[in-house]
Amino acid sequence: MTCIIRKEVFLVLDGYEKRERLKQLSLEQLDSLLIEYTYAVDEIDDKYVKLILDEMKSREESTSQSDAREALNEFYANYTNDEFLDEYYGYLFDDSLPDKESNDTTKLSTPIKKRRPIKRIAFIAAAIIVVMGSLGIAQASGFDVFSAIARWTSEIFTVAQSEDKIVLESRKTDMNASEEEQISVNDAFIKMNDSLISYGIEKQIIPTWIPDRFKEIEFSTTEEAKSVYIMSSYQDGDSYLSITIRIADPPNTIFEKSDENLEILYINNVSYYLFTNNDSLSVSWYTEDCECSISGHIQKDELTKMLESIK
Amino acid sequence: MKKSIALLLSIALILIFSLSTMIPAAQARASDYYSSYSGSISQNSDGTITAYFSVTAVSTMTTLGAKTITIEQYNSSTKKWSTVYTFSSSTTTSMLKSNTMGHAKSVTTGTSFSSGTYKATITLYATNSAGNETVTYSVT
Repeated sequence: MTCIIRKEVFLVLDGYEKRERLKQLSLEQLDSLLIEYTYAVDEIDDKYVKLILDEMKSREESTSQSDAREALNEFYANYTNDEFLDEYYGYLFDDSLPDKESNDTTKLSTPIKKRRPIKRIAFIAAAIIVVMGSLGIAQASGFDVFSAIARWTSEIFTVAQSEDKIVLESRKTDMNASEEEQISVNDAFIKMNDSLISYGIEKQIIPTWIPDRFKEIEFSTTEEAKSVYIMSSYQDGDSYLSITIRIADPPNTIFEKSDENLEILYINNVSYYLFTNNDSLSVSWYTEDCECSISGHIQKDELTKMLESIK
Repeated sequence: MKKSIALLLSIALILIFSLSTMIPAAQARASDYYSSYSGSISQNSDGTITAYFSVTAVSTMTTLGAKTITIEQYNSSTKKWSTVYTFSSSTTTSMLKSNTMGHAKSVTTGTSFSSGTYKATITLYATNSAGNETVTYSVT
C-alpha cells in the first residue's frame, strides 16, 4: 500500500498543518499512514499517531451518519426480501418499515414487526379444515355432533304456547269400552271430533285414518280447572296407540323423548314434530289452540299416513 | 412453520378429546311409562288454590295418576318456597286411575290463602306388570 504523504514531509509540518493534511486523506489512506508510522524503524512521535487516530475517529463518526441511508438501502436489498424473511423472521416483521427515501432512521433502533397476512389467512383456513375434518370423522364414526348439542338442550319437547284465554265449565265424562263393545275407528273419530266441536273446535284436527290392526280400548274427556283433556287409546296385542288433545292456557305439555333427532314434517300447512320415546314413535303439533299428539308402537309410514288424513 | 403445525395439531387433539367426552353425557331421558304430561295452578276468587294435571302413558297402566301434589308459596323476603298444602292419593280420591292410558284431574285446597305466587309440584305415578315409575315436575 502506497503512502500518500511521506513521513519526512509530514513531520516538518506544524500541528495545524498536520491536521489539515490529514483531513485531505481518505480513511484508507489514514489507515495506511498509521500502519507505516506504527511499524517505522525510526522513533516516532506519539503525537502524530494520536493526530492520525483522532482524525480516523472523527471520520468514523461522520461516516456513520452520512452512510446511514446507504447502509439502509443495502439492508433492504439484502435482508428484507421475501425469501430471507420467510426463512428467518417471518413472524417478526410488519409493514411499518421506513421508506427507503425517508430520512428518519430512528426506527432502525427499535424491533421491527411485519405481519404476514397471507400466512395468517392460510393458518386460519388450515385450522378450519382441521375442525371440520374432526367433525366429519366424528359424524362418520356414528356420533352426531350437532344432535348431541341439541340433545343437551332438548331431552324433553314442548310445543309453542298461546296467549289465548279459554273459559270452560267443570264437567267430566268417562267412557271405557269393554272387549265386547270395541268401537270401530270411524266411531272413535266421530266421538273425538264431536267433543272438539263442543269446545268450539270445528276444524278437523285429528286423523281420520288409523292402521286397521288397532282397536279402540278407551275414550276419555275431562274438563277441569279451565283445561280440557281428550284421549283416545287403541291396542293391537302388545302394541298401543293414543291420540291426545289438550286445550289449556297456557299450553305446557311435556313430551318424553329419546336422544334421537327430532324431525319436523310439514303436511297441509301444519308443522308436525316427530320424535321417539324408546320403542314408541310420537308426533306433536299445535293447531287451533290445541296441543295434539299421537304416540304409540307404530311405523313412521303409518304415522305419516295418519297425519296426511288430517285435512 | 413448525409452531403453526404444532398449534394445529393441538387444536385437533383438543377437539377430538372434547367430542369423546360428550358421547357418554348425551344419554336418553325417555320413558317406558309416560308419553306426555302437563299441569297448571291457579288461585280462585275465594282464595283457594286449584292444581291440575294430565298424563298419557305409553301403554295401559295398572295404576296411573298423581301420587302427591304439593302447593308451595313464594316468600319474596326470604326468596324461598315453602309448602302450604299437600294433596295425597291416599287421602284425595281420583288422583289415581286404574287400567288406563290417560288420566286428568284437578284438586282444590280446602282453605283460602292470601294473594301471592304459588307453585304446584306434581309427582306422577305409573305402574304395570313390569314395574313402576314416578316423575316430578312443577308448574307456576
